[in-house]
Amino acid sequence: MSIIGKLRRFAGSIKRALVADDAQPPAPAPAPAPTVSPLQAVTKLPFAPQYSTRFDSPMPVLPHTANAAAPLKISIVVIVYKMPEQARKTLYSLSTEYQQGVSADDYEVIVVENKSDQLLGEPAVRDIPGNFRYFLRDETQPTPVFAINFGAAQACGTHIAVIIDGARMCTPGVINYMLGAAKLSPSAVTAVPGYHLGHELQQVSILKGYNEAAEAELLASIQWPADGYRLFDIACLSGSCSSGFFKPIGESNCFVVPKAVFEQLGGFDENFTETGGGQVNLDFYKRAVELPETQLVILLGEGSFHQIHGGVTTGTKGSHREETMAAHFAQYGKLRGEAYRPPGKRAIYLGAIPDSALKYIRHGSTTVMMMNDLK
Amino acid sequence: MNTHIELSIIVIVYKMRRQAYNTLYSLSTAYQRNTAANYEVIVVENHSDENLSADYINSLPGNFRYFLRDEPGVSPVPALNFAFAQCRGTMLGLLIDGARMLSPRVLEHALTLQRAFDHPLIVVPGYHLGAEQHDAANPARAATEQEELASLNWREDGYRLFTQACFSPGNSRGYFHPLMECNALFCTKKSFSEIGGADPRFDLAGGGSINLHIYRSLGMQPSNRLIVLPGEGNFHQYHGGVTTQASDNRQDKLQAFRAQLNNFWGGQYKALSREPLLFGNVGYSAQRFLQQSCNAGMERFARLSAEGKPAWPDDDACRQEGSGQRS
Repeated sequence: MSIIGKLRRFAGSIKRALVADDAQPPAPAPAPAPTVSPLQAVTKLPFAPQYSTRFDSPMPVLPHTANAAAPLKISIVVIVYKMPEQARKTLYSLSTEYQQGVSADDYEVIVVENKSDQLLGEPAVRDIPGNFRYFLRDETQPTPVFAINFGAAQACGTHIAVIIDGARMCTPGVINYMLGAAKLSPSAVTAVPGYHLGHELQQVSILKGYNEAAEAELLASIQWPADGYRLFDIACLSGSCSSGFFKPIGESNCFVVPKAVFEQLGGFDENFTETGGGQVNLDFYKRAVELPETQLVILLGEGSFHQIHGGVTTGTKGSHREETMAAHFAQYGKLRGEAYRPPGKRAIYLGAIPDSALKYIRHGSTTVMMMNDLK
Repeated sequence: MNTHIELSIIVIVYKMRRQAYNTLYSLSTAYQRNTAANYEVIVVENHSDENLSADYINSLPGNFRYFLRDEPGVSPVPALNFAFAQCRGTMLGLLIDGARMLSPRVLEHALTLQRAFDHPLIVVPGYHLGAEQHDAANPARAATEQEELASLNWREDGYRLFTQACFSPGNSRGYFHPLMECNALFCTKKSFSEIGGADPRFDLAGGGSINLHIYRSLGMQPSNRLIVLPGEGNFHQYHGGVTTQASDNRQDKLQAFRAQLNNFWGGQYKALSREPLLFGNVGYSAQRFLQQSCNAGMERFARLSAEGKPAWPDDDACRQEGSGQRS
């Protein structure tokens, strides 16, 4: 019982003592209903992901290798579905006009759109500066997993990056640093931390009226795309790395693996047929990081920023959201035999830290110290 | 002896036997992790009444080469240049103060980075062992410090050194502020040659501010990429050094050093201000220093932003001279 409830009951008992014996005591006021955030509600579902406070013990080692014989090239697969405005911004953030320190020879962007009544369309992609290819598919299931594997099959690069949610804009150094990490290690799995635009997670902020118009105002306030690093000023950490990146993170919504690793894992598991792919992105991330030969690199000063678009996990509300998440967790549990647990392999960190991102580094450091009682 | 040497690390020693032995052990293949014997340690000692034992050095696992010199002056600069002439690797590590122990993966990261960057300038943040900086410590610190080190069992896990340390004065506000100097830095041998090595005009005791001068000189080469290892450290042991012991005339000495340094930089030396790239794992014992760095960095960025000043002005100067910042 809450403190208010206790006080009311106590007050009620005093009042009853003062009233004549034959008077009817007033009915006690009902206790206020407990408030449970949508985030807390899903953590209690069966097969809800299990998170840990520390990395596994062994320190990460970058394997020694001779210089790469072939030039490195990143193939970025971006999946689009019912998000034309958001996808335009995401794709612009991957253009050679916006990305720093790279040229069109260093990477390609493979846009795979599943047909809907809100098409981005090929003309919108055609004029984006850079090396873009567009494919439109007829998808019969509510999952992007087939589109991802289709896109990866088109890849010409030495490395495959996946942005499963085309509503995620990137900071200007993402591709440069992906290439840098690939130079440092031939087996790097390089992850970009995730953020939501807005000052609260979108599954919470949409309950308070956050919408596309509010988001447009936020982007205008930083004059995006003038300085892509200002995105940190109008964002908050995604749920998958809400405690920062100095402990295991749940997933990355923009990460790159060597093409050989993608093929070794058989691509994204096509059994993940729930809406939005369920936990397929977490699953692939975990499988890639847990390969003994890979090394996890986290780009400290870069980010992918989710735009509001009515997506499966960020655009649903109340009981509908809980049911959706329950189905996702249940499918993962059925396929893997247990709840999802983030990979515990320690990360190597790489990157320059823009001033706007420093608060997130501090948050991560403070959180891991508190969680592990460090001084 | 392994003749394929990629990295040559210079260590200068003078009157610091016990401390130097710890430093040299921290450079051995028994302590440094994930490295092959592809580096050498050039130990150059200026003669004193406390010389190292050549037999001890030769017994250390790894490629150690020891030279004992008679130095008529009071500066380590001639020893530094002599050591440089002995180096066989294409990459250079500089530890001008042989009392500075390293954490266990410094060399691994230096070797990794030189594979990915043509011109890395790798900086290992500096610390002082103990709760306070050594200029405030009393001379008895030397004895107690060795006991503390023994109780840490640092040879088993060098990251424990973070648990008994504080930031050095050279980077007292962490690594999102310009560092004044670096006591364990790595660069290409070519880069060090291009700045003329260690300038012999730094002839004051301990070399004066030679370390600050070298750091800024290397950092202002446009092609050099500044990389900081936030999860690693170099840890100063108390040894009664020129600037790290409390003494009546310490301030006078520092003023003389400053004046000499300013003469080389148009009358006004400034700490190198180039944006650092961070690299490496950051273990739990190093997290509090990352947190402190973030706190100080955020204050600095907020102040500079309010004043309309750039965060890393030397980057602009270097860009104007030559190549850009990003790799």
